[in-house]
Amino acid sequence: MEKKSNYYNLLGVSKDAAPQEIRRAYHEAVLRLHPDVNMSPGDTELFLDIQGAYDVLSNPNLKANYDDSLSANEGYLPIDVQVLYSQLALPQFKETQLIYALMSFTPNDDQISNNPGPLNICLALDRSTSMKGPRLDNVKETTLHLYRQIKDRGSLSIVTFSDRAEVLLPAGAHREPWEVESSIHLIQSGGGTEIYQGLMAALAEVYRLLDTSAVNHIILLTDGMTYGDEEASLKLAETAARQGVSITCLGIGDDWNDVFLDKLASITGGSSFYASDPVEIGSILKDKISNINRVFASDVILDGKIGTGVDLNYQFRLQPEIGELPDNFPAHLGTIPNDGSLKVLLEFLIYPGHENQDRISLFEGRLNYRCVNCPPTASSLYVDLNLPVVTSESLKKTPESIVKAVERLSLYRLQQKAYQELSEGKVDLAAKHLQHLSNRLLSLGENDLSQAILEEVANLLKSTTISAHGKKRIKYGTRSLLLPSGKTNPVS
Amino acid sequence: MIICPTCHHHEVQGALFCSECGSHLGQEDQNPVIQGSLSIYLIDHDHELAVTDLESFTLGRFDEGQSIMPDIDLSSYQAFERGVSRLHAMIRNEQGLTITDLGSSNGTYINGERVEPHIPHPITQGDLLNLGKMKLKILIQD
Repeated sequence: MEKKSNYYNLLGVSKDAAPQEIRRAYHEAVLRLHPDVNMSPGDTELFLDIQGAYDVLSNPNLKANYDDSLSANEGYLPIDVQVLYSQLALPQFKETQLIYALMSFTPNDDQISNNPGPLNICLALDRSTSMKGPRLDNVKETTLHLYRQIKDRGSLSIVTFSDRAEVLLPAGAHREPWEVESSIHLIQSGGGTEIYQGLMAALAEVYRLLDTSAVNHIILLTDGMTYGDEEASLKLAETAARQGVSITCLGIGDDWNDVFLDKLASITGGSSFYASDPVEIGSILKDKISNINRVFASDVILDGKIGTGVDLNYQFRLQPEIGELPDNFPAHLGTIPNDGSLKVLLEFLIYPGHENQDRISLFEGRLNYRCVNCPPTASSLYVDLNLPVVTSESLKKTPESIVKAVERLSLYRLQQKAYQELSEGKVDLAAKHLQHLSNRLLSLGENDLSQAILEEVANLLKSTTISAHGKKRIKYGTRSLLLPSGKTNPVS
Repeated sequence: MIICPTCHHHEVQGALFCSECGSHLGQEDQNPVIQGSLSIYLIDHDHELAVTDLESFTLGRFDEGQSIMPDIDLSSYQAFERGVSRLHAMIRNEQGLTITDLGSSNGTYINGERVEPHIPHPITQGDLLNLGKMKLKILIQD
């Protein structure tokens, strides 16, 4: 049996799947691939293969024979999915309800190939005038370190930009290490910040070595605002995402646009980070590279449909890197690590009108991914989020992991709400919400962050603005509470 | 519909935390929220402090150069000598009356037992509290 045509891989279900799950996965594939609705070439063959797979797997006798023909490890997918819900079932209320779902995608241990794909990383370094001094010095030092670390493991290309971009080290170029190192030392600051220029040049470098088995990634470092090219940059990020290139943004100091860079990264499944002090640049990027080295599957994309009478309020990645995710599909979720899980928290709003149904579908679709450190036999996984509808009400047994995640996320969303209100000129409301946030943080033992917020509230009431430093500290501080360790700093 | 016990904001059924103030909305088996008036009796000074804002307040002592003020300042009751921290504890009246030690140096005790910091502990009428060596009693009047 040729591996590619493994029936379970084709349907995106595991050998353990219940007959009903196999049927649902088949229906989902049919609706997506049927020749009547889908004209793209190649899909018709896939449709026929899936038809063949279902003919076997839906028949208990044929399925048993087929299972016998597989070796012990076959028939399992490279990735396991586990879903927890805030309630075990949906009570029949005649009012709108909220349901939280926590999806975990974890590599199947047998399938880690220990032969990770190559790295194809480009560093895009802001060298505008404001980078002069400790910022640029730390960037240079970190770049040297990363260059030495990566040069034997894959390609690191380097681009510098101000209001135009220069390629310092092209992707795949053979250069003497001393030559590269001296040109890193010689980076000079000067000029403005045009992120589009830097991104464009970085993307061109990554494209040179674009490889479906590699991690294709851009790390953008900047300390300033870009003006007028935000839209063009976001478009570029969308193009990058379609080609399988993801972007990490690292903002240095307090003058960069966190909303913009967060969006730029999240379009591609990446995250943004904040270095309030230049000395933090090194450790943030080392962590980043260590994450890239542990990628099991990249380009993880969730695609599908939200159920009828259901809205997706919010989608947030908790692991491996914290980040906001778009609330529409297809959504780039980022990467799945070798030694952990990709965890995504979803908040669904359910409108009344399900009283006569047995089950309610929240989401149905597929997780598509690219194998980096797993055998490329399968590339999609059937994902089905649904709950039974029941008459009783005593269902409140929310898993601890959801309670904790939602608690921390509610803090992050409080600061978001406050900044939204601030941008609408509702200073009093913003101050009230920040005050609430400060109270909650105090009771969680986050005294420093709590105090920093109170100081900003005082500023806010005096001057109706909030400092750029305070704003970023509160945002990235509450975000870091969502890390598995869950503390911004150890309690003294 | 769920009504937040802390800020009375209306939340959708199934919500776990208040979107307005971040409070936990789980209502199972909590000790009752105090409806009457609360006061704190300072045993060593035979003095009763009435509490006006019942929702949540902090206890501590004001010190020069401090940016967070405790809601109830105990500095005029020998708080420093008795080992009260600047921000010592927080009392809240949501999901029942609770006290949370805010990581004080000398600890908070309920009826003689030291409590773990940063976790709300239920308290009720007549409970004896120690903030360091300062003794307080919780009084609730209907």
